[in-house]
Amino acid sequence: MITKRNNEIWAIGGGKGGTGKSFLLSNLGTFLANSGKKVTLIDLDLGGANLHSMLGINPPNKTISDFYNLGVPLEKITTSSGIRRMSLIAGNSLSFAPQSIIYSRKLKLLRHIQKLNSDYTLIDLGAGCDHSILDTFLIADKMIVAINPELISIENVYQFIKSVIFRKLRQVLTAEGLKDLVLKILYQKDSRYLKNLNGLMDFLKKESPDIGEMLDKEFSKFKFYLILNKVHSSEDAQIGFQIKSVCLKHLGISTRYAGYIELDDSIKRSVRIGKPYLISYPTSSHTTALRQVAKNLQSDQDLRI
Amino acid sequence: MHKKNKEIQKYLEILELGMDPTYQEIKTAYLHLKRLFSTDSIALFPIKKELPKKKRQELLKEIETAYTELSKQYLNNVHTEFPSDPDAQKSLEITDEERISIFYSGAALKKIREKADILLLNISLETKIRIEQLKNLEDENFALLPERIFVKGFLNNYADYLSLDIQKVSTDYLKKYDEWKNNPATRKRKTGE
Repeated sequence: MITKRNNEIWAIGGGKGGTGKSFLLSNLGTFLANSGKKVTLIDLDLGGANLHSMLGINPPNKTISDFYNLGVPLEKITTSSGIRRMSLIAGNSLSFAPQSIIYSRKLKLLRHIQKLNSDYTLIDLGAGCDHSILDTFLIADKMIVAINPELISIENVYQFIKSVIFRKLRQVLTAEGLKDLVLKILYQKDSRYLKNLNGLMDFLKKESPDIGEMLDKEFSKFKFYLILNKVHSSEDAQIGFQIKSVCLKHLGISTRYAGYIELDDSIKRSVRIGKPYLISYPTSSHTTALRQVAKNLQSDQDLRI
Repeated sequence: MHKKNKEIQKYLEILELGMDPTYQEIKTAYLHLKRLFSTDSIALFPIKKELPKKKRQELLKEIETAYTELSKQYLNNVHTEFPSDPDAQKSLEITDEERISIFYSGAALKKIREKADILLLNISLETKIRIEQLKNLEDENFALLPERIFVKGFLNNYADYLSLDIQKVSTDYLKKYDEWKNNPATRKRKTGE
């Protein structure tokens, strides 16, 4: 009899390319696998699938396209990652246009991901915030955003978080048969409500206290996990705390600052070589930092100011 | 008592603190938020347009109030940090009369600082006063302290850091200092031998 594993799903997304999502994910997966957990990595970065490159694997024969186009079950698409206990479902950025995947297939994918028999499933969503990405992001038990300490990246993260919130709101309201309410919000002239989750909640509560209560319930456990990557200095590291406060005070959303990773040549090298950083540089301070981030994510811990 | 606890909860939320923070945590949280919303922080920049000046000032005012109230609350309970039993809290609060009757000698300052879990190092880093001088201040090693005007400066910084009544700290402490200074016997020790 096969033990049914817990399958905690982590998804990493947000922002443009180059923030280090794939780097972080492959290393977080390596840490978990090395600590005895069964891990599945899924590369859904349709803009540039590179998890397999990070792991030094040649473009595998089986990819996520096989699921979409041929209906091959996910378990049959996994390939070895080079790390024991961690398997990879490789992405494919070449053969199909993402927009052409029909909605029902996407939903099917999400259901199958949830049914995987892993301790942890880590999903690389890549850049962008179209509906597929947001929907996939929302099935995660832990929604992780990778940020760089630069203005553009920070701007992208706020935008991404807002998009996720509105997508969730739409899901919740549509499920309750309140699609009209969604349209009402979108066309709300008083755009004050659209800028702030608190303001939006207030507006909805005015519409109906039942809705308000339901939303409180859905959003009370809603939170994001922040990882600050490519940090240059200790001032940079503080940006994580600032973003946390802005999210709380302005967007009304809870976040956990899981940690920060410094920029370093050795990291660039390991990406080029195609081996997880943890494996190539086991004694490096950046490895320590990565391990701590992984532990913080597992135990839902924050950095203290 | 419960109403008061609700207010405290609100202030804790504003400063983004958990239950039972130390004084150091309160102060750090306050400084972080104050800096974030009063300067041009990079994290604030993308949403600057969404946060009009008026709203920002309201936010800063809230943060200020939360800090003031929480420090008062904290320093009230010199015997214990936020106890979860509201009745216990009542019996341990120092009344205004009691507070006025505290004489801020060096030893008293030291006791307050220690109860608040603050190291001399913390005060030194913030005020830029050397640790040895802060120690001399607490130990009332008047002979080793610099001129009176500097001592007053030290006291102001020290008292401000601990959110104490700057005037009273200064007045009390300098009373003792002046006693020493005007006493020819002890004074001789400073200038002579």
